[in-house]
This record gives sequence, C-alpha cells and structure tokens, in this order.
Amino acid sequence: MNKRDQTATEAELKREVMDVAEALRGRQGCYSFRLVTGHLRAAKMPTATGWPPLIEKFEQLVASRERIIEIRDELRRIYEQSLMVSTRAVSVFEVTEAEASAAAAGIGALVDDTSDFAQAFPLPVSDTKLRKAGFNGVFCHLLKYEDGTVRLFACCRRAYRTRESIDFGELDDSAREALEGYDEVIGVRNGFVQAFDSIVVNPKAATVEIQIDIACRLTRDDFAKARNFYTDRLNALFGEKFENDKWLLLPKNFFPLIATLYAQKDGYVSSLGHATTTNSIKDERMRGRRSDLRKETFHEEGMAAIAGVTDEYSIRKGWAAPDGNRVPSVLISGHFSIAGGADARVSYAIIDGCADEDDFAMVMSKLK
Amino acid sequence: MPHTRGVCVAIVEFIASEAHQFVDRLTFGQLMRVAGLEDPADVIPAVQYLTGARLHLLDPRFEFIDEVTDLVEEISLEAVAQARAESVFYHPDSGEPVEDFEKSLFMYFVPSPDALALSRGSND
Repeated sequence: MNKRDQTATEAELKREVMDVAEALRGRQGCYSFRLVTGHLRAAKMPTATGWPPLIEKFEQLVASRERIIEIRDELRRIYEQSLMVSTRAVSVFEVTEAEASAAAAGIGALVDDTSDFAQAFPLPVSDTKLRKAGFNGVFCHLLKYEDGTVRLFACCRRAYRTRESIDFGELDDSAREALEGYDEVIGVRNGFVQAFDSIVVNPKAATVEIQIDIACRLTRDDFAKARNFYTDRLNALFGEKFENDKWLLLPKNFFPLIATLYAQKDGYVSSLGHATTTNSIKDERMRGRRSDLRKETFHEEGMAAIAGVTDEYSIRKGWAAPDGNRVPSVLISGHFSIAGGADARVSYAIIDGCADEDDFAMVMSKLK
Repeated sequence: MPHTRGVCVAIVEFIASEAHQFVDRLTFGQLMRVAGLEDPADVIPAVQYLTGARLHLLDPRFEFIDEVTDLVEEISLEAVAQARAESVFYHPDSGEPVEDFEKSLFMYFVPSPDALALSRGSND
C-alpha cells in the first residue's frame, strides 16, 4: 500500500473506485462490457450482468480498505487497457530503424502538459470541458515501454448521432396534435465522447502506428481525416530532421492481406466480402465470432462451384485468446468497388475484441 | 388445425434426411414451411413436443440482435429467463439496459444430440 493510500479515508478510496468505474463505463462504445466482466471474473472481483447493477455493487461495497484498494487498482488496470486496445483503426507506416529510434526519442515534445486532457489523464475530462474541446487530437501523455517502444496518447472530442423512437404517450396534447397522421416519431440525439487515440513508435519493428480510437461510429473519411491530422503533425516535427517533409505518407496497404488471411487455415473467418466471376457481389457473414465461414456448407459449395475464382474486398478474421474466453479480431474493410483492382488499397485495419495488450499484439502479429 | 403428430413427423423426416445434414439452425418460419403450415400457431404444439423430454430432437436457443450495430450474440436460456423475470436485459457490449428487449431477442432451434445421431444413423 502506498503512502497516499495509507492516509486516504475509506470514503475517498470508494470515490476513486466510482470515478474509475464511471470512466470505464464511458468506454463502452469501444470496449465491450463482456471484456470488463471477463477481467473482473478472472481477478475474483464483483461482477454483474450490466453496468447499472455493477455500479450499484460498487456503490454498496462493504469491504476492508485493502479490498477496496484492490478493486480500485484492478478497475484502473482494466480502464488503462481500454485506452490502449479498444476497438481501433490502425494504420502502419514502415520507416527505418534509425528514424523510428529518433522519433521515439523526440515525439514527447508534442505533449501539451497544460491541456485539460493532460491534467485529467488517464481519466476523461468533465462533460463541460469535453463540450468545449476540439475535434483534433491533443497530445497529452507519453508512455514508454521497456523495449524502447513509445505510445503517445492524443485525446479529442468525437461526435455521434443516435436515433431514438419517441413514445407518443410522453408528448403533450399540442405535440400529439401537431404530429397527427404520423405512425412513429424518431428523435435524433447528438452526443460527444472523448477519444483516446495513440501513436505507437516501435524502433525494433521500425514502424509508426496511428491508432484511431473508435469510441463512437466513424466513417472511412473520419479515419482518413484523423490519420492525416496526426501524420501532418509528425511530418512537421520530424520532416526537417529526416530531410523528408512527407516522412509519413502512405501507410501499409492491408488489401493484399485479405486473400492471405482467407487462405491461411488458422482462426475463424467470420465474414468475407467478395465479387464473384459469376457477376455477384457477396457480403457473407457468420452469426458468431467462433464460426468459420470457410466451413459453412453454402459458402463451401459456392466457392467450389466457381473454383474459388473471386475477388475478395473485405474480411473479418479472429483468433481465440489463449484462455479461450474471447476471439480478438481484425476487420479489413474494403469497398466492393476496389475488388480486383490492380492498385486496390486499404489503409487501415480495425482491431477489436481485445481484452489487453497481449491480445492486441497477437492480432497485429497476424498482419505481417 | 393440422394434427400435431403429422407436423412432428414432417419435421423429424426433414431433420433425419441425408439431404439436410448441413442444418445447424432452424427458425419457426422454416419449421412451418417444412410442415406445410401457414399459421405460426399451428407449429407450436409440435415444437413443444420436439423440445420436450419424450422426444427431444430440437434444442431451443436465443440470440440477441442489435439492428444498429449488427451485433448477433447467443444468449443463454438462463439469461433470457433472468431478463424476463427482472424485466431488464443488458446489452452484451454496452452493458446498458435495452429498451423493449423482447423485440431484439430471437428464438431458434438447433438439432439436439439425439437428432444428430438419428440423422447420422439414417445414413449408416
């Protein structure tokens, strides 16, 4: 127990449990509740079927100080993993080892310690501050790994829209009158979430990864805009040093991996998009991550009928985690318009279903 | 109203047929078509019989489908029973309550181990 924990009151410790639990709940758009309960179960911590009963359990927690600290620390550990391995779009830039080493050493210069994001990190900023924040990432924290890799966190506001059905019964008479003749009323709600993007520089692998946190639904354009913002900042910082103002220009092309991943027999191919030589465009998908499309009768027979001559344009493939409790996956999501194109390109891979950095590293190792 | 026995026989013949060995799941709609029925209510007595202890050839299953995110998730019978008893079902990914959750829960059937043995046995 550290000195601060020794002097903290029980109420303060419980407040910390609630703060980190609420922060973790805020990551639900990109870090599944199932992953949270999986961690809690493995650590023999309280768990529940949903966030409201789990929060209630933490609120009503009756335990020793040591146990409260254990729970807080476990929640913090899970939360920190959620900042690094949530559902994210990853673009990989291959650079030289010398460039990666220099970038790893110098990238910390981008951190703005005075920003609201940096002050609150790793916890999120308040809703009031988030509403005032911009949509471009603010570099707020640098994490160094033993192997020389560095992870630079950048936080920003991301906007989303949800559509909800409005119950006529909840409307007053005048509103109901105005909407007479409509069978259903749909309300559009605008919301904001805090995203935690990362730039990971790995000198040994000679790569720079830009990881866009998919804290809410994003389009291909959103990924490109976010990625370009970060490459511009990195090119501005290192362009002169490397005598190349377009140092980070084209990320690794994941398109050729679609056919490779399909052909490699390991894992589960849970979806495949392909344009056949019989003039059809097929988006085939299994109903679960542990089902393999390649072993499904309809797909097998169809592929046999066309002798496998088809142009793949998207794939989702997963591999069981060592403990067998989840299937971390990659989605390489090209549009059918690029199927069969000589210069087809997919600039990012979406990684999801990862509980921790080991899961994430396992999926990334499949994309080489 | 069609005789339950006739509906059961049609379903059993379908499951046991060599031509249908690929069947991993069956919906109410498919069972109706197999038995040549038009009213879903007519297939229910046969389904109750075939999922019961006397001739257990179908196992009921539930899945949750989120039409917004396209999530398809198998939900255990116990979890469905708990959700119904407590009138609340939590989204498997978000962990938040799902409004009108019954609309997102879908029942289907898989051939039971006995049915699979029957199917394989018929082709030995």
